[in-house]
Formats: sequence, structure tokens, C-alpha cells
Amino acid sequence: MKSNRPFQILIIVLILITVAFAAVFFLIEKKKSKVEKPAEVIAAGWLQFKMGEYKQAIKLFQKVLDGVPENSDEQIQALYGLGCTNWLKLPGGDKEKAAELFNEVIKRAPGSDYDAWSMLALVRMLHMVPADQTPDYPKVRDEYQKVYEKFPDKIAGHEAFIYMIGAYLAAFTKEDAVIAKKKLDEFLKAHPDSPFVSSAWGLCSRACETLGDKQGQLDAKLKELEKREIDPANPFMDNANAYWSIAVVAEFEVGDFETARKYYKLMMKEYPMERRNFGAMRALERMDALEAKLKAEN
Amino acid sequence: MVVYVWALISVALYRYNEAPPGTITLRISHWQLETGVRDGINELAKEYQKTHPNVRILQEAIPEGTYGQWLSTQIMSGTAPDIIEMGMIPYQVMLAYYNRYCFVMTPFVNKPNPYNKDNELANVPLRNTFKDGMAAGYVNELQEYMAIPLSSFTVRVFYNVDLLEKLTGANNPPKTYREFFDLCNKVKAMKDEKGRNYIPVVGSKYHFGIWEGALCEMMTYKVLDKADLNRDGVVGNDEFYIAIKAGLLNFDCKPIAAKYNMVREIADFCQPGFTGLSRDEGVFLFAQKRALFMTTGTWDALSLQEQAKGNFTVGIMDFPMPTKDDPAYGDVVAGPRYENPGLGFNYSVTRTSRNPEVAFDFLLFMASKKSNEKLNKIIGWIPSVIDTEIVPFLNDFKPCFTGIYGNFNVWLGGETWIRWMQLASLYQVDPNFTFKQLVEQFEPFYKEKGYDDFMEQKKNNKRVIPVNERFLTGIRSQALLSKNDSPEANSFWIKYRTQTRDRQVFYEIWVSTQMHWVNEGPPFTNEYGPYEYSPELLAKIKERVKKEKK
Repeated sequence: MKSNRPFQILIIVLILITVAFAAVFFLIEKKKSKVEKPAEVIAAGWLQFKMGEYKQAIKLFQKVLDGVPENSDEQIQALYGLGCTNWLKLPGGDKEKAAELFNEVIKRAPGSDYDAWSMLALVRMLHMVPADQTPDYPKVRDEYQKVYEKFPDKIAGHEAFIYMIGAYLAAFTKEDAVIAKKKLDEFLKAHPDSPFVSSAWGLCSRACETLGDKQGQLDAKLKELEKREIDPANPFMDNANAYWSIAVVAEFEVGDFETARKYYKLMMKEYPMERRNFGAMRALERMDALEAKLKAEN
Repeated sequence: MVVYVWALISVALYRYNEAPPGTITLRISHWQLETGVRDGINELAKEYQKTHPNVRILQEAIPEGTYGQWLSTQIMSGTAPDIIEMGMIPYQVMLAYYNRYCFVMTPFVNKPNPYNKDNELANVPLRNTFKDGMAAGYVNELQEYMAIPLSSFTVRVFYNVDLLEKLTGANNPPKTYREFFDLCNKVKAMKDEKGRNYIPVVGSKYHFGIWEGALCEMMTYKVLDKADLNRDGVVGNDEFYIAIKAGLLNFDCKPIAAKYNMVREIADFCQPGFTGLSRDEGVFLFAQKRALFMTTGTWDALSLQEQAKGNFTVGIMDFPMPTKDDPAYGDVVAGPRYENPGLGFNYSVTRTSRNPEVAFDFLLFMASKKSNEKLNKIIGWIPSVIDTEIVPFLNDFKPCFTGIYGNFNVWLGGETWIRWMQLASLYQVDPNFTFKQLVEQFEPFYKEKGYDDFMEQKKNNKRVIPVNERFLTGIRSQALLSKNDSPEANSFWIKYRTQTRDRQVFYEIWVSTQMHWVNEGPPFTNEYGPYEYSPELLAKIKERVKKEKK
């Protein structure tokens, strides 16, 4: 029988060459997929997200996810970006996929900022229901509470707390307002310098209003103003609303004309172009007239 | 063949002279065909070229009727001009265009305008050099500065000075509504040499809207006292509906009745069938010296003067407000008319621009104190930049910042809106259709169908929440990607927190409050309105005053 050996050797050589080529291509591809500046690609992904180019955003986040070391900061950031984009993309967000991605972040980076933001995102998905439905408020509140309890010192934790209180007050019942007020008192005591402290005071004022505690409503409004953050670059954001709101509560709910006068006047002085200045002027005249009348009667 | 070669060479030479190699050509588009606008921009372009000889600026002035379509086509095909005047498209589309196709200007607004280096604004941040703090260029939905406003606008009443003197012997225009009313009644009965009646007031769909918005609407200020349920100083369409539904307010209340009485009076001074006429047809009547008064904005001031040149003198007066002793309107007019002129003539730089830095630089040049003053002087408009001089003709456009404003907000949506438009239009043109009939036909309909519109509006309010979430996620990403504790990061976080509070947390509470009020009733009664002291509070104040007296 004729030996088939040369043919076998040829086959083996061909296989080896193929494997070698495959290995070289694999290495080249791997090198290619490695992302050199992941931070820049992530930033580009978010820019695409902001511009509404969700497919592009997903592509960029995915590129980073595949091209950086496992569980690196960049990979976690890319996972979070992918989660947000899948959740909020148009048309038709994919909540299931987003939840998977957020859970992956929570699993891979426990205790990190992105863990907190991902946990908050999962609750936000639960809270935001179609326009003709009402959120399952008790469940939503519980979930916000869990985020706050897990991250009491992180911004995401404080934001979750604020959303939770909002979910109590949106229900518009006295019972819920009582719970909200109690939780707010504890929060304000524990975190007097929270970045969300002004919002917390604003919610406190709202809770007092529902409970009929008018002085509490005014006091909380004053605290809200004291701690208020103003975005200096936003020409529509100023204290005129806050001044007007304090003055009106002081005048019509508490009868504290001194405070009312102070804030009506502040608005007129600091915002001379504010259209409610005429109303403020009327209010000053109204209070003067009432006091004069009452003095005359006495 | 020779001619063909000669033509080719001519075109090539012309092109070369027009734009030699290295020339940067900027295209700027707008819809302002009014007198002076193109001249003004050309003049500024020439000025700019003195210091930037390699820059050529080409204007593309497109009629406003087609500007929106033209702009969309240009943007979609990637051939948009470098600088565009943004507008003439639906607001939501405009937002999308800003977001996707225009450069953000926020990074530049806190730096001084280099073209102000020789004046008192040298160290003033760009945004503070505008009369409104550059609010007109700020897009709240995007929380970014997207455009630079170049002019200020407001509306006034223009009149034919010669005709006024000829018909009434008066040298000065009427100052109060009663004077205006009496004068118009007199003029209405007079005829010209051809036996045609003089028209006291120019009417058209465009012109009448200004009369209604800037004068008649003021009569409704005191609706605030009944319907400003959240006491924020403004009556929203939702509050208006809740107040009507709860019986706190009626359509035949004094302020609303006064507004529509005035609408009828002014409509009767306009030419018959005016609602079917266009803006140009209205202006034609004025230019022909057949009409005495016409209302429009500063944007038309110079064009009107040009049209009247050598023919008659154009005068400008403020809207004649009723005085407190006016027999018909005295008790609803609480004060003068509030007016805060808005800035406009907004320009953005497109992302498809090959030279965005140069485009932005040219905009800065036009927004400098000296150039802005010059530009607006040529156009005959009011500059957008502070401390600038205006042409004497426009001196009468001084705004009034302490005054009353309208609070009639019936625009709830859908069916009620259409019904109101039908009835209100009929009321304007048919003197036999009385205000009483208008109210009788509309109020029951509004109360019933308005509930569906209200609920749909609340659904729309809820639909905004995911949109806001998308927006907030974008800002959060910027904050998270910025260097910890850097000024940039702090700025993003402040923006993030304030917008989270306003757009999501408090917004949801406000929507649910309105739902509560519409179903359970608002927290006020006919006896105790939003701006009235409750009996308990009065007793408390009385006690305090008594103690203070002792």
C-alpha cells in the first residue's frame, strides 16, 4: 500500500498555518478592540445620549465595555451608561435589559457611587409609570428607603430620600404628611449639610401646609431660602419666586406682616423688572390700610 | 469655443477675487426682510472684514413664510449656514435642532466679550451685557445658552400725525382710553373726499391680536384675586379651569366682561371684515392715509417711516389705558400696563459650520456695545446690549416695569380651545352676538368638556417626567465625569439638584395637588379668596394690633 504520509504532513502543516493565522488575527482584533482612551469614549457616549443619538451612545459604551479590563472603573461606567441608555432611549426603552445592566453594576462594584446610582435608577423605573397609571406608592417608597438606608452618605442616597418624601406628599393625605414630616425631621437633624437640604426644607414646608401647621410652613420656607442653591448660569433661576412665596404665606397664612413686608420689599429691590412687583406694592398698601383701620377701631 | 473658455476664465477670476485661497466664507441666514436689516448686517460685515480681511460674510434672507421649511431642509441635508436665526418652526422642533445641530454657548457666556475691551463693559461677562441677562438666548429645557440675541422688541400704537390734526384738530394723541374712544367715535363718522368712511383703527388678524393682548387683556388682572390658587402671582390654565369649575370665578365676572366689552369697542373701530385680512392688507390701509391708528412692534417702525416718507408723519404713542375714574373700566384697572420688552433676533452657530470659532467671533462682534448700537441704529430697532443709545424715534418705547398684566387663561386644550376660538372669533365680527350669548354658550361647555381636557393635560404633565429624567441623566453624567470638587463639577451638581427638585419632585406634587383640587375642590371659597384674609387670621391680626397699641 502506498504511503499517504506526505499528504498527512501537508494537511497538518495547513492546519498549523491556519491556526497561526487565526491566532495572529485574534491578537490583532484584540489589540484593535482595546480602547486607548476609555474616558473620552465614555464622554462621547454621553454626548450622543444627550443629543438623542441612542444607537451611537450604545455603540460607544459597548466599545468601552469590551475594550477595558474586567471590573475596571471604566467598565462600570460603561455598564451604567448602557443601563441608562437602554432604559431611556427612544423609541421604546428596554427596561428589562436596563435592569439587568444596573444589577450587573450593583454586583460588580458594590459600595461604589455607581452602585448607588444604579440602585436609584431601578427605583426610578418603578416610580415612572405610563401617564394613565398611578405608581404603586407604598412599594416605591419602600424601595427609595432601601437606597437611602444603604447609602446614607451618598448623593444618590439623599436624592432617593427626597423622592421618597415626594412620593408621600403626592398622595395628599394627612397620614402620609405626618410620616413625611417625621422622616424629614430625622433627615434634617442627621444631615444638616446635605446637598439636598434646601429641597428637604421645601418638602417640610409642604408637609406643614398639608397638616395645617402655618407657622411651621413659613419657618420651613425661610430655611429653604437660606439653604437654597442658585445656578448662577441660569437667568431664569433667582430668588424672586421664593421671596414672593414667603411673603404671601406670611401675609395670608400667618399674619406676620413684618416678614411679609420684608420679602415683598426684597423682591421689588432685587428684581426691579419682576412683574409681580405691582402685586407686592398692592400688598404693602393693603397691609398698611388694614393695620391703620384696626388701630382706628381700637 | 473661445467664448466658452473666456466665460470659464471670467467665472474663475470672479470666484478668485470673491474668495481668494485661504478665505473663510460665513453664511448667515434670517427671515428679516424689514427695511434696514440686510443693510445693517452688511455694514457690520464690512466693519468686521477690516480686522478680519480673510473673512467673507454672505447673507441669506428668506421670507418668513418659507423660512422654517428652508431651514429644516438645510439642516437635514447638512448644508445649513454657519449662523442661523432660530425660529419659524414649532418649539419642540426648535429644541431638537438646538440640541442636535447647534453649538452650546454656555462656556463663553461668563467671559467678557473681547469686542468690548475699549468700553465700560470690558470686564463684564457676556451674559450680563444684555438687557435681560441673555435670558432670550437661554433654552430652559436644555439648561444651556444656545443663541445670542441682537435686538429688543416691544409693541406700541402708531398713528398718522397729519390725519389726526386734519380730522380732529388735535396736535397730541389721546392719552387715556376714554379720550381714544371718543376720538375714534368721532373719526368713524367722518368721510374722506371720495365719500369713504375713515377707519379709526387698522384691523387684521395680526393687528387685532396685538390690541387684544397688549390692551384689552389688561382688564383681566383682577382674575388673579379669585383664581391664583397656588398664589404664585400668575393664573395658569389649570387654575383657571379649577376656579371656574368650583364656582370661584365666572366668565361674566367684571374683569372678563370688561375685557370683552373693550374687544367689542375696538373691533367696531376697525374696517369691516378685518379678521379675514392679512398684516400687509392692514398696513396698506394705514399707508393710504385712510386709517388713523395702527398697532405693531418696533420691528416695523422704520419700514412704516419709510413708507410714509414725504406723504405723512408717523407718530408713536403708548396703548391708551383707562384711568381709575373711567365709567366702564375704572374698577378693573388697578394700575398702568406692565411691559418688559423681550429680546430677540436670536442667532446660533451650527455644528455643520466649517469655521465655528469664526462664526461665534462674528456674533460676539455684533453683540459688542458699539456694533450692536450701530446695527440697531441702521435697522431702526432697539439694541439688546445695555448702556446703548437708541434712535430718537424710538424713545417712546420706554418700558413700564410696575404694572398690571392679563390673567385670562382659557387655553386648556383640545375641544374647549376650538370652541372658544369659534365663539370668540364670532364675537369679534358679529355685533349682534353679545357677550352674554358668548358666556351662555361657552361656560357650560367649558365646565363639562374642560374636565376631559384638564385630565389630558395632567397626563401630558406626567408624560414630561421621562423626558425630564432623560435630561437629568445627561446632566448627572456631566457631573460624574467632571473632576471631583472642580468648579465645573459643582456647577453641574447644582444644576442637577435644582432641576431634580423643580422638574421631578415638586412637579409631581404640584400635578397631584391639581388633581386633588379639581376633584375635591380648591382650598378657597367665594368668601375667602387667595388674596383675602380668613376670619381667623383677621382676628389674630386684630389681637396683635391691639397689643402693639398698648
